[in-house]
Amino acid sequence: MRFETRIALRHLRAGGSQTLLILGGVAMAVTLVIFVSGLITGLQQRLIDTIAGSVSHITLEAPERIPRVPAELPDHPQALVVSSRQQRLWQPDTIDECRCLEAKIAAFDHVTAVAPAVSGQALITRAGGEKSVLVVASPPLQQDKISNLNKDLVRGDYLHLQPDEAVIGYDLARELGVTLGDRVRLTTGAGTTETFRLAGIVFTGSEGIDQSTVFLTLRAGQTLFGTGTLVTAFSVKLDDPFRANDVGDAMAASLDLDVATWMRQNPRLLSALRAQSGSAAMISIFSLAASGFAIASVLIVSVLKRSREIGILKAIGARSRQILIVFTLEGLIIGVLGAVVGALVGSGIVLAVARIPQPVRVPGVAPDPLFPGIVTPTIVGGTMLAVIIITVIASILPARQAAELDPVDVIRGA
Amino acid sequence: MPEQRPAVETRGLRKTYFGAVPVKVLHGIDMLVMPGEFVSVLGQSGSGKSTLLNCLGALDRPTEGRVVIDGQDLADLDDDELADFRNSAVGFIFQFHYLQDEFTCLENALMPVSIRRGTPDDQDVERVIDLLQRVGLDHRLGNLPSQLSGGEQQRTAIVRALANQPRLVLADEPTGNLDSVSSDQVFTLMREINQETGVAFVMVTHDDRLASQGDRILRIQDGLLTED
Repeated sequence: MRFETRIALRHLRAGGSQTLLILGGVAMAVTLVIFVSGLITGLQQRLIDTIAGSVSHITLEAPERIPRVPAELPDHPQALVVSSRQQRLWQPDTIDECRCLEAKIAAFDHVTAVAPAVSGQALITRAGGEKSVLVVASPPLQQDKISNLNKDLVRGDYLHLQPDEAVIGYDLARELGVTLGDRVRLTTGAGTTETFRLAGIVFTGSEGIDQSTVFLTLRAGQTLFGTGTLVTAFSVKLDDPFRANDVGDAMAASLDLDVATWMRQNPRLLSALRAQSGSAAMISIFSLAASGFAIASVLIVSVLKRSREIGILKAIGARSRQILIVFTLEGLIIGVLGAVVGALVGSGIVLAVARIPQPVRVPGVAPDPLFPGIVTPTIVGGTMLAVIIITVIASILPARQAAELDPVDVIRGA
Repeated sequence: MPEQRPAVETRGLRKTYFGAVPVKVLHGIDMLVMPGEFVSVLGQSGSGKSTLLNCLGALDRPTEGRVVIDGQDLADLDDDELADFRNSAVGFIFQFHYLQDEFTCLENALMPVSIRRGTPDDQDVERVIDLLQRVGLDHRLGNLPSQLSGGEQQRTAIVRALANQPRLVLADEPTGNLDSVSSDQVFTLMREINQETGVAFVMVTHDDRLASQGDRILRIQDGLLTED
């Protein structure tokens, strides 16, 4: 073993309860940071999963018809410029060349799933009760990759949905008083009416879906809204929901489609998430810095206490650099041990707290944890690395103090 | 008879401490110590004897003049080289033993070897254990300094000074902190080791009785050296 390592270890061992206390302090800081980060990351991930996980990250729709100016209509010199709304040629707008477009969209970076859809407003009626709903009709296997519906099913089945079947939200089902196998009627604004058998009920946690959305097969939607073989929109899922704006802008630039992203539709949610992440970062930075200060002060005291021994080591031939290494090593060892202990305790607490269940809301469904904390290698590894770097930086000042001690002062001062 | 290289040679050695008021401590010291000699430097406190010893041992740089130890001019060495020089070319014995509290008697005695080589090899350990045996500490190898008497601590320090087989040992009031029995014991050991191994000793003291038992006495007064 190297001389420096041996001296550092001996110092720490001789430090006894002081070493244990400072180790505890570092471990506690690591525990706190892992706990706070784990909890907030978990909460945010649940929030994002609930909101971004069950909606499409990017929705592409046919562009609104741009009003043409009279000069472009030579046959109608008297034509007036009219608003795009009135100019719409058919309802709903459809995207041509569906398959070709789908392949183009799927080729963008970060895209993990694309689902073509026909969607529109309709009235759902059942035994006198009626409600305005959003109808999303798309191939179940593709749509499931966007909305994770199958995972959120309380009852029934979605992946094998038939054209005469529908899946609706849990709250909507309760409001209408329907259950699996019951029949519901959908009426579009154009007056078309179709009847569907209820094949599944989902509870996603997102109010928009649970209270007022009906899922059909693409074929059923095309029939209901009379779009033939065309679709009105594409839903896109990304590997990272927070790239929605970037990818969406890229799509808008190269495809002749209107682009909407979940981020632009939920600006308040995003600023809340940012504020939350910011406060978690502040807590982490301050507690790690506190452990750095604690280490620095303990080592400074230790250097003062040992100035005699340090002086003699230099007198008998230890180079300044060797003394510097001794005390930096002490900080490093405390940092590494504190990081390991803190990582174990912190991860343990996060996992233990994550087992506390939420009060049951939907009968028959295992409730989510009350605190959905998660322990990721990034959180644990990042915190450990940060605390180790901080302890080493904190030990440099006392280590330099020790290295610069003049043995003559020590010998004369005794 | 071939001319022997001196263990210590100084020429016009001056040392001034530049504080608020410059203090001249050494006023031009010329001294010569041959290998195997045991030289006592006798002087009152404040006479500059410790400063002289620190300059000889490369702990302090002189303001003026040359210090040549075993053929090596100390002015030619940078700080790291001076540290290496202190580690292997000279051995120090101080008034206070200054052992490392957390290390055993044997580990303390081996400290200069550890500083130079990391881990002492079997040969080093054997040599140092022999020395500890020689000073009567073979039953104390595993004891911490706090478990040793004052005399035992100082004897450990003597072995530490000899661990890297230096040609010169510098002792600053080595018995100053000991009772008369331990004091005699420690001095006798130093003298015997000097005679057995031929290591030159320069011992600073204010004790006439001890000083007179060396080969030569140099008196230092007001920063100037005179020989009896």
